[in-house]
Amino acid sequence: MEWFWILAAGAFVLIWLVSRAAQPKSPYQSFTGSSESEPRTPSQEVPRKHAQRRAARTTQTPAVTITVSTSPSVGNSWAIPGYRDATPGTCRTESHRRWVPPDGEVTVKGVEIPGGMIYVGSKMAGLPGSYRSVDPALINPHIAVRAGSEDSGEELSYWTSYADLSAERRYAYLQWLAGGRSDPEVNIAYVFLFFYGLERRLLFDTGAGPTALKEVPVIAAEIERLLNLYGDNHSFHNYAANLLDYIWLKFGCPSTRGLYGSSQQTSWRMSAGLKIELGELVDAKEPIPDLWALSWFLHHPATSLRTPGRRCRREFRDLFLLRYREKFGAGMRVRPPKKRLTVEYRPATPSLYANTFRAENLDLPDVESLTAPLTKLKGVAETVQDELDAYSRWVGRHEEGKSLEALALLPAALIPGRLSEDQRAILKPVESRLEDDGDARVALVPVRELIERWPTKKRGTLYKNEAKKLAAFLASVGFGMEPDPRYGGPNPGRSDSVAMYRLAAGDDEPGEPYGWATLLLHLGAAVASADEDFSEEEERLLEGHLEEALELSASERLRLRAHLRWLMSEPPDFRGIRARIKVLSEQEREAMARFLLSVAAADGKLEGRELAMLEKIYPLLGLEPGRVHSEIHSLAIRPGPAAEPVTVDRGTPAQEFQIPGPPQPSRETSPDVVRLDASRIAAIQSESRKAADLLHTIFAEEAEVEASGGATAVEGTPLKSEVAEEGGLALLRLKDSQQRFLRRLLPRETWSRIEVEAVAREEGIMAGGSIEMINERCFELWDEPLLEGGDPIEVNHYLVTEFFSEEELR
Amino acid sequence: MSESNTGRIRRRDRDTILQSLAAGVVPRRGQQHVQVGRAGEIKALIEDLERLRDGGSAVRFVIGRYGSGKTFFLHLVRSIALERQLVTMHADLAPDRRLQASGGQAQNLYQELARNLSTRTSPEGGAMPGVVERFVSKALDEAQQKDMAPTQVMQEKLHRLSQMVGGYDFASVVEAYWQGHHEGREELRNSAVRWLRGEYSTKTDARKDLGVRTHIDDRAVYDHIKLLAQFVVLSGYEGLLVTLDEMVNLFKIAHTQSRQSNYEQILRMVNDCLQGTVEHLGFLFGGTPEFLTDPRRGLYSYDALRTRLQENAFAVDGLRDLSGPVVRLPNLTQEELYVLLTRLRHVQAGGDPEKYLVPDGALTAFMEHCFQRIGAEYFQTPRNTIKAFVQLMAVLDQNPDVSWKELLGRVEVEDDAVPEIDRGNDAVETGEGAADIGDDDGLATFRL
Repeated sequence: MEWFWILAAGAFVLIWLVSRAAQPKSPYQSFTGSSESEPRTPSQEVPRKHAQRRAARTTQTPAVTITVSTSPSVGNSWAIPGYRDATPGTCRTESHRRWVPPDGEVTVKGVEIPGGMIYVGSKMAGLPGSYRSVDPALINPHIAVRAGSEDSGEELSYWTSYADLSAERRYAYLQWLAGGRSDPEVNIAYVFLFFYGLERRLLFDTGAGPTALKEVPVIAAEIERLLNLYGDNHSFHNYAANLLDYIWLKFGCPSTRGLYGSSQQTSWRMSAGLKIELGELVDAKEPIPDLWALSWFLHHPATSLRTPGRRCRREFRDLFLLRYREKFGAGMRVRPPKKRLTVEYRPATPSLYANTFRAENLDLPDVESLTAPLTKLKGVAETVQDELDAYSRWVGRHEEGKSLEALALLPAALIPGRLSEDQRAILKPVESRLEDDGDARVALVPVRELIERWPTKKRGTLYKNEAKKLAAFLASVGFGMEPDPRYGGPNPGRSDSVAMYRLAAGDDEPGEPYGWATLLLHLGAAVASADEDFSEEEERLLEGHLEEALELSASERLRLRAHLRWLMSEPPDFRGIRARIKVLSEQEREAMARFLLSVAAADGKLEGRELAMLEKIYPLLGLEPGRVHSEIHSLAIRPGPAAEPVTVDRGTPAQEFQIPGPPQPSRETSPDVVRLDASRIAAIQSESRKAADLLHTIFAEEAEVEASGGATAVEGTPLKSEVAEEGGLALLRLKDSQQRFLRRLLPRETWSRIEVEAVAREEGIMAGGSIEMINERCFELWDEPLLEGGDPIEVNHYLVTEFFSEEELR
Repeated sequence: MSESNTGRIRRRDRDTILQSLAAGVVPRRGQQHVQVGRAGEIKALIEDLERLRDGGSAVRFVIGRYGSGKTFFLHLVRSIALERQLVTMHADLAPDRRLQASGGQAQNLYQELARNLSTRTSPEGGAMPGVVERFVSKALDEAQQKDMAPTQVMQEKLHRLSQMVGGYDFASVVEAYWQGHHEGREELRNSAVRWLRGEYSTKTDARKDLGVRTHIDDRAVYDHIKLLAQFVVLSGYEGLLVTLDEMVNLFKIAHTQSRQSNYEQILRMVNDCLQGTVEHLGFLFGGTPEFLTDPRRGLYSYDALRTRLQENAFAVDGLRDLSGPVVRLPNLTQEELYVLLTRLRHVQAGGDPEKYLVPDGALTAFMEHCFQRIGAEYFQTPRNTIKAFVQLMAVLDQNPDVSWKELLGRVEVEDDAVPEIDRGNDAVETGEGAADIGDDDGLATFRL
């Protein structure tokens, strides 16, 4: 037997699937009430999957048992007590009453009514408990009808019946039926009248035999059709939709409308289908997909929308779905409530009045009772409506929502899909420039061109708020703009052009380091471009340093590059810079100054204008302008002793420039205590030794001779032993006159200049020249002068006693 | 302390060093004994001097902050130059001493330079007569050997000078000196020396005394430096090194036009030296960083100079280039100061480690003491620290029974505030606060 059931189940699923496919449903299709086809989003597939699963389940193991109870007594069978002609589908006599099947045709009082689905006859009592002797839906062909104005007379009562209508109204009703039940202007009472009959057929007759059961899909389709036509009437909508839910559950006849209500923005009730779907998701602890969440929210009785939500349905829907996804990703997860789901149907027809048809034991959680998820959804809806507020008011005032002015008021994410071809032209300048530049990732676009089509309050002027919108808009269509006022950049409206680039890494809000980077970049560019030649080295240095030093993300790097490009194109000014600098600590400002200096020097030369710019920036940084030169000096000198060319301590911004980092006390400036570095001392001593060696070759002293014990001779320096053989005087190899002059001076230690001059004159020589020559020779011999000083002149006693022989001194 | 400190130190050198340092000034001689580090710079400068000896030219700008030892370095180079048989001239620029002027300031500078003309035998200046006499003596010797008239020999030798601007009168004055000597006319000799020293202020006086039609006035300063450079070579020296310190005084000239004309003069010197149109002549300028790089008033404000002086790619890969005309001096580090103290102790002991007055520990204790008194200044601008140390040594030397530990606590060392002249920027003009300029005159006190 098993295989039979499996086969049957398979067949059913197949049929059901075909019918589903033929009538595509989507939660929002009904919501918007528009016939335009929507692009199918993946999330739509999710409900479908659930539906399939459920369909399979309900067929294999029928989980839904349905009881029809009549009030006040609760029955458990189809038999309705006290009603003799309870056998549905049969007529006691043709004249009494007849159910005209959907494909049947009947003529009443000369009016040909196609399409059936009505009861015609002279007598058909209301169902028990209704206290009606005649069913309201029964069309008694014997009662008079009359063509004429149906509007005369009193108002139609709420629960009317065919018999109670005036002749004119009966005629109008018949006319409506004859016209295919589709006149949209018809009084809703006629629709209800017709609907009463359908209710009776569905809820009562189906219990009696297969004939009525077979008609169920057709009748359901008819109800749906009516719902489409007359769903604007809340009352009818509720009954019709509820009945469809009920039919769906009871007869396994899925309705395209069952889930999502009608074209109403909110339906004040959650349809059974919706509750079941959501209940299954919750039960399975699966996330609630966006469309289901939207349906949940919109159809919950507690939901009410403000004007933006009501006025801009499509925008509300799109934005709601977007924000929901942003917030919950695949969807929020809901903890199943204890309360179980029951589905009830209270018929509209007075004939079945007070009967409640209940479907229960579905064993699904009742989501309607939940408040927590609803609060979350409400939160999303609130922000969405806030976001739509400006747009909504524009639409309210101007009764259009498609102009660029209107679209500009929308959140950026909603704009791209709503742009017309014409409107897309605003992107032309950007696109064409990025393409023109080949592979260039950044292009400069004149602001003038950009705002030509962008609606601004004042023509040709872009205010900061407008610039923010523009930036957001451009970002929404995939372009980054620098400067970006959304992220603390200056208003590009003040510039000639902006740098545009394709957002490869998304439009993430750049972090704090990016702010630092732009500030530095700004100052750096001011310095680098001060020489009116923003060299490539300078650009590279700026970029490289900043990217390395500040750990920027990919999108930030891209943005920074664009920013730099923009800076290069704009003569940088210091607007707003002061305020940004104010928050820096002194160490940070100093680090910044060092960095700027290295930027200025990056091209290997420090131009005057660069220096002038630095001198301008230093006070901005709270530093003395004069410090520029000291710091250049520091840049240029080496850090420690070494004889070979060494690397200059450049302040290495890459390491030192950790913005909020603690200041690194530089070795030179602020040691806490005297801490000497032994290795440095050794290095300095070694270098000093080198210097001393160099100097020794120049200031070679006879002391070395002594130190070496007289064993070796420094080149050209006679030793005392030699002197003994040849007197010092002789070694000087002076001219006779000079020798005589010197011999006369040697015995005394001090001479006045005049005395010396006199001696020289007597010897016929010039004193000054002779002293020079004698000393010159002495330096060569002994590295010391013999006659020292200008006036008085002293005889170097040391030389005399050491090197001159006794005879020479006599 | 180390082998680098060995060697006898001449008493005269020792005394000069200690006296100068105790007074807070740079010693005129013996700098080699207290030089710490800077081998690279010294080597580069020595090479410059060698080039001068070979008939070349050189120009260097020694740039350093206040207290970095510019003056010391300049004096060291000057001493080396003297040792290498060069003649040196040196002067500090001042408001009334400029390179280019119309009110006598340039002549003042020349006078200062000429007064400080030094040779190895007269390292403290006043060598002008000696240089001239040496020339004359040589000429006389030659005349004797060749049996020619001394005047003729001299004229032949001076012929080259006569071709140069102002050279004719220069030659005449040198001849006049010989005349004065020859004829025993002392006043003529004096007049000649006075003329050469730029001390004549009118043409009339010059003609009356020496029979020449010019004197060395503001406009002729550089020309005469060039003449002197040739002349000293004729006298038997190897060349002339001109050292100009405190160049920041030019930076401080408020009048743009006069500042520029001074920079033009520097440009002439730089051009002549770099292009080699002068021989045996070198210039050494000392100044602060502002003087060099200030774009409005420094040398960099003068485009032609900037392009010549721009440091070679120091920021490209951080390589140090000592071939450019700019030599930058870093301020001392603590470690360098420490080494310097060891050198001073060595000098004080006359080069004999046996005679050291204090152990190594005293040096660090002394530094600690100074640091607590004036902070990092003590090694960055070490003038007062050194002064206090030398004075401490002197007291210890004279009172051998006193322990250094007792004295140390009583050493007072004062903050060596950066004087206005080295700050470069005019406080009024730039709006620069005077907050960190003490009213201290840079004198340190040492009381016991």
